[in-house]
Amino acid sequence: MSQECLRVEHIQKAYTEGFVAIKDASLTVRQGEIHGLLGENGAGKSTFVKILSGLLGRDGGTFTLCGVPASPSSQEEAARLGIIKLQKRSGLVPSLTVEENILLGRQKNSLAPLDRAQMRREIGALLEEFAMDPAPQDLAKNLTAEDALETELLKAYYAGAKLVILDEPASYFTIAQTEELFALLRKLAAKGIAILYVSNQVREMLELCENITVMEGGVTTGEYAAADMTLRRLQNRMVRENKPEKVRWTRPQRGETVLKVRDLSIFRGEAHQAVQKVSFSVRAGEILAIIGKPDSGARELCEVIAGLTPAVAGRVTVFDDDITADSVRGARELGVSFLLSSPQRIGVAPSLSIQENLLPYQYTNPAYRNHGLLDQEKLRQEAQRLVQEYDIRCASVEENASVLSTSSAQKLLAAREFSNEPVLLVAYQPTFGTSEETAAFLEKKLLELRDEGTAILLVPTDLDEFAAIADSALVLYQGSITAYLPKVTGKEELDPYISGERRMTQEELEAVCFE
Amino acid sequence: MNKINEKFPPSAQRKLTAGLVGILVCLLTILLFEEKRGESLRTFFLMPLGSLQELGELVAYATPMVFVALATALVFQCRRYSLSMIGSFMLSACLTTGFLLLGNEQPAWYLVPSALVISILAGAGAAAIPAALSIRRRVNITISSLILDFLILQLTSFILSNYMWDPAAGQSASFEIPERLWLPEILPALGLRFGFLLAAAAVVLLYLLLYRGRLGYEIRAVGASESMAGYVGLSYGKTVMAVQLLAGALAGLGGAVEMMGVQPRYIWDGSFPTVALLGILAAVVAGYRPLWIPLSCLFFGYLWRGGVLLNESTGFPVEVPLFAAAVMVLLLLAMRDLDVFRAAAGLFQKKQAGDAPAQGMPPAATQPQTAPRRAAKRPAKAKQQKTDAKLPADVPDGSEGVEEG
Repeated sequence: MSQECLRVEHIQKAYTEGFVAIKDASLTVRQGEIHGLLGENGAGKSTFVKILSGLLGRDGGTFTLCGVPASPSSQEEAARLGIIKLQKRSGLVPSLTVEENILLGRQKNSLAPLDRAQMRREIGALLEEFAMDPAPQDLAKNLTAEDALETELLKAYYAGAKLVILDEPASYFTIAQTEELFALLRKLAAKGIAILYVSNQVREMLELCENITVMEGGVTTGEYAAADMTLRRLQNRMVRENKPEKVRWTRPQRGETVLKVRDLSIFRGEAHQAVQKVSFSVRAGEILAIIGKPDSGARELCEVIAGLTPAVAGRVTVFDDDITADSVRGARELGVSFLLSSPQRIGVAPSLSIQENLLPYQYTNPAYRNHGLLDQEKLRQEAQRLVQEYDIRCASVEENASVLSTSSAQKLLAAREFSNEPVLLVAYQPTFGTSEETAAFLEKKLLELRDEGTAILLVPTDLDEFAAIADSALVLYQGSITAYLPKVTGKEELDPYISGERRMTQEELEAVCFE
Repeated sequence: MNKINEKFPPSAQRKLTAGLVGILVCLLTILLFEEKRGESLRTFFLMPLGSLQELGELVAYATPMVFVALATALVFQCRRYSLSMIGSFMLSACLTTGFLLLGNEQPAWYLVPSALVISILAGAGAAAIPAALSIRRRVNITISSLILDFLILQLTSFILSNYMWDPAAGQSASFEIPERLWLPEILPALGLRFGFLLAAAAVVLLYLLLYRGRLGYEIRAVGASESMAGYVGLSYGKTVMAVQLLAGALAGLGGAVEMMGVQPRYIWDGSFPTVALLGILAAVVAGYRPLWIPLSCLFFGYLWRGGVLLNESTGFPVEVPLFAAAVMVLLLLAMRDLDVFRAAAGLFQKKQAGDAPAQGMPPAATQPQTAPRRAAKRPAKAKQQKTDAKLPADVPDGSEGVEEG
């Protein structure tokens, strides 16, 4: 067995308000090990790793780093000791290049000259060694989330980290991106770096980690070797009760055609074509899923239908009203709702109250006004109703939305978009970044909405979601449709279409263009 | 300690501290540099409140400031940090003066309302330029509005020295606007004019607009997160334009109120009007909340008026209260997120436990003023981190948690 890197025992942490976040947490990570910290949302994982990385102080417990007692009181100090925690949001400086970002913080003091040529060579070698996608001269702001995270990992490695902590890094990634990240993590571990991987995804844990510590209600309940565990057993360890019920798919009652997309083409940036001559229809009461690789153009397609970005050519109609050139407002006035997830969570304003975030349509609706002024009482009641129905966890609707957890913020978005009786809902990765419980809840809501007659265009968050709720499916490969499946069956038969190896004939594809 | 925080929230603690420091700066300067200390202190601190007449004068001083402060509050709530209210104020004050002086032969019932309309149009017009640049061309509105303020300053100085200058005034000032063209008096005992009513109405209307109206919601939504506003279909451009026009109109109206009864000569030759700058500071102190603005304007008006009165009797520099006001606002901004009482209590305990008993600590010395702040940093920071985990972002002014990529 290799040497211990970090050992913490019986850590406790209470917030001033008397809320005990961590009751008794212990953890041992060995050098060169990928260690998982698994727990439901709200189990105290984030608080725990904040203590490990020096961001928060601890109220009790011991802390040993490589056999030596340590007590980092700030993130800078922890970093000097070799513990680096990567933030959920990218910590790179957007306006600097990959190379400069990795070099950042390496000089002893600001005035000391740097041997840049030497460092450049080192970094070039490093990027090559780990077979990284970004070039040294790429600007950080142009990187994908995954490349940015990998750059940060490399930066930590270059800075001589002993322990790297990742807090739910892959919740925003597609499967392929996650694979690449895992490969890099394994390479880093092979170099002797200990990695603490925090997540609520059991599957990721089993795939990546050697040992897994389970956390629940502020207590670490045990450490397990991944090789001895199965998915089911680990899941049972993690969740005490209210295991989310499996969503049950029912047969759709299809109605008339709501959305028609004809020969739509979209550019991404100046020259790159994201979507080429795409045609399809969505009928009332059905969920049409679009699946494909992350660069398939599904996001751009959703954005154009929502009115967020313009199309180059083609037509989008809702009940025969042309909305191709309409702005967001125009589309929304026709009853189009959209839930487009992104790591930046563009739909939520953290400094507005939960009520204000929840009810933008009511605030602009004359029915919620009294003698020309907003009817505060009616608005509050509506907000409280939605908070209850969607189980958005907060003390009051007056609180700032910044207090919401990832799952609750997503539920807020869903409550807002689902509750105004949309005729068409565009849902791009609707359960993105949420716990399994929330995901199951939102999927159930989507099915309810469908049964009420809403046409839903879905870009599923993962294949489980696809299998659970989609009625029919389109496969998009590099901006064009390669398959249309009136009925959703297994995933295997889709693979050649997703990878672009096969393409259905024109006639087969035209079957999805209902009038 | 928690009980105090409940009854007297940290934001109010910070404001109180800043206000006390502002008064302290004035007090110290007077004690250090004035010869007849007792009399000077009385003139500065008591005379502005001494008689009904003086009180009315104080309110009159604060009235134009309220308009500028309201404009600032509106613009800053939308987080488009434009400073065009200074330009709006100057342009409208200058044009109103010119209009009234030129049209002196016309009857007052025609001139006074027209002057008000001109002031609103001039103010809104001045604010529209940086707003349009920011919406259409994505020019930074702070910079463009400052440049425009500078341009208006040159323009109005030129108009003053070439067309309105009164050689008999002694200093560089325009001819005086005749009293029959001032706004009508509504409370002769206090000497309050119609502008006071306008200001009061503006405060209430702006409150209703911001917190009880649809436009107010849109303004705050665009301010809180442009991307969120776009996502739910609020029009960014329209909202920003509406805010800037409204703010410009308010500041412009303030300019007219100033000229028609408070300061009947146009005097700003090559310098920005104090009243406009104080208005911006007052809005910051009021936390951009319309209902608090009259109070903070009265406070600044009080300091300023005290300075003017003392200047008249002993030649005391009028700049001192203005300096104090600026110190006060800087301090207030620097104390962001600081829990003053708790920090002070922590410091006190530490002192008692540690070195010599420091109970008779002189409250007025400048040394301890910086020292507590430094020493207080630790407990305050720890506290801030704790709240961060649960409740971040009190009212962040510049930084946004979520920003478009």
